[in-house]
Amino acid sequence: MVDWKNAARIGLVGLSVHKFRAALSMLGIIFGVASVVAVIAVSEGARGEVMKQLAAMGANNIMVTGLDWRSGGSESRDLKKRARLHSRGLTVREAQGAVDECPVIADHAPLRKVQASVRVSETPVSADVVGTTPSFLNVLGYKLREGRWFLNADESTARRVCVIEDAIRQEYFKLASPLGKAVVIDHEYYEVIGVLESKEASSDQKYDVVDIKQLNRRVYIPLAAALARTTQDPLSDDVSEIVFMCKNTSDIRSAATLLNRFFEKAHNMENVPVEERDFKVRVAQDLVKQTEASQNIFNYVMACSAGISLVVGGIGIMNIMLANVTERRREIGIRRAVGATQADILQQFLFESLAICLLGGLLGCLLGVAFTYLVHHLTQWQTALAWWSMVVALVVSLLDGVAFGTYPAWKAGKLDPIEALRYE
Amino acid sequence: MTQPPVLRNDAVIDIQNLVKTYGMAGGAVTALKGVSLSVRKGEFVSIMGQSGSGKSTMLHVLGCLHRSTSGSYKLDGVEVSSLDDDELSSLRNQKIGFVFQKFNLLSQENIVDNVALPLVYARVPLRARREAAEKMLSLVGLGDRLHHKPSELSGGQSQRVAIARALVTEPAVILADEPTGNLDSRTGEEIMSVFQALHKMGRTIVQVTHDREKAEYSERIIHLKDGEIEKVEVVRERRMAEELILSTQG
Repeated sequence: MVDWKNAARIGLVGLSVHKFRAALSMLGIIFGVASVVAVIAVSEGARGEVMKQLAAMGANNIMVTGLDWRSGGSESRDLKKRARLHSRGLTVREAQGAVDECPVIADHAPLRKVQASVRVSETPVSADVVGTTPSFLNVLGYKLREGRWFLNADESTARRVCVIEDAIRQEYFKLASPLGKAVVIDHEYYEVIGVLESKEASSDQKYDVVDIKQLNRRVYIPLAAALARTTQDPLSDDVSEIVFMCKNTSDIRSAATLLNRFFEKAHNMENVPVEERDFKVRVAQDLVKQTEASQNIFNYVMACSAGISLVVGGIGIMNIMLANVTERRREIGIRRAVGATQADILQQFLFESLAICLLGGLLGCLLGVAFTYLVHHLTQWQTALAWWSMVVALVVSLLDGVAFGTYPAWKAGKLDPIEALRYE
Repeated sequence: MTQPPVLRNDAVIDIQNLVKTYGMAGGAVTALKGVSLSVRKGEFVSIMGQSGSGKSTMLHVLGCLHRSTSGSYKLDGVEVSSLDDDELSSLRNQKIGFVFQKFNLLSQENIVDNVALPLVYARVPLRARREAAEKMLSLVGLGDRLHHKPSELSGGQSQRVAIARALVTEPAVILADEPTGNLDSRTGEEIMSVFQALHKMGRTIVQVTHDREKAEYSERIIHLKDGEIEKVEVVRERRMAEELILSTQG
């Protein structure tokens, strides 16, 4: 007896008669679905970012960063000033000491950010200059696209050589191989000896030193060369960040505790609150865990608000459909008189509800995509539209149509044909 | 009560001792108190009576919109009294063509789809439905207005559409409820001429009316009073409307 094709046709004709009313009744569903789609896109985008950061930092790595005096950042300047009074900075010697204390650390790489102007030929290059040691490649998990990485000899003699990121090669060297060419860093010539393969990493999240957005636009030089550039004191080995790599993922937690204790002691800061210390120890995995925890809360809140808007949307649909049934009693009577069964009438009105909800769901998806682009555009947040969020939203809106359309449709089917025909 | 002398096997409508009681606040009202009536195939019969005589109830029972409280009603050989709602719907669909006082067309659909409406519920495919509907509209003289909406038609034309809709399933009986009640006398006569032409083609027609003049277009008048048949009158001098030749060509 189920004849959906006819029910569909009749239902759509019914809808087309009351376009404006149908559109109004859809609003709840439209905004409900749109917000679900947009919010999931934002949340997925954030998750993707965290994953990228994790990949960029290395899953087994612990980062110890010194305070960067130059950047304003989120921490209050007052705290920084106080911290600075006691600060001795991070040093290569300290790094070596830390490795000696923690046997679970397999390797480490100090990084020193250099403020310098960079040019290729006469063209200014937007890139960060970072000094580091031969171990960097292994610790951060980079691969060479061409050429070679620093050797110990480059480090010990502070040779003026550099390795560039692939993005810089693409932008400034075009098709020609950059090997053997020069990069000018503050008027000094550095020979390009290698090009790194690009690593999936982009972010708006700033680290004290490692700005991940800039990860693909870095020029690496030997640490000794960087130190020589940035300080007058030939004995200074002040670095901005030290990356420690653990042998096993399971050791990270204990290694981080050990490192924390080591630097506490080395910097004489056992009694200084964490936020006033001149160093920070972070674990890539902590970042993910923290994000996941806040994301879970976010997801619950989102699910609740989406649920509420869909219920409200459903009630809107039910309201309109009840009005529809009352208003179209005569039509129902006519259809019943010429042979429509109760089930036929029920199907017709249920289909109208479903059509409203499905259409509302589709419009909601479109609006959600638009919201997502708007959010991305206005806030520069990373977003990732998830096709499954739209499928879920559409299915839920259809369920909404069934849940809230059944009662009006059932009521329509149950109308006494004679009463219905009498209606003016 | 004596039973009317009819040939049973020839009866499209065969009612025996039909009682219809409505349960209402403050007691039950008996609208039909044991009515027996038979309509042969091809007859044109009128049911007359004052308001409250039970003629509306009679129409609803005849039209399978209500079941009787007791008694027997055979429509085209099918015993109606024991059917459930779905079976009644299907019976209305196949065996009855309604013509209402207020035409009762669906305003949002064009007249072809209006006429085809009963075929929707007979599960006839769209194209066959439209073909049949167009044929019926030609029959009632509206073959040139197929894509008009009901609102674009005059009262007489609307009632012709309704008649086409009543005919489209080739029903056993056409039930007309005050079919000229909303029309002026000239248009009313026009509708009567359509009925007489259909009658000539062998259709069974039962009309309910309070208008003596319109009743005289039929062959037999059944007078209802207080839920009982007062008398059955054979019309001696039938009114004949201007003869209308209905074209059966599409």
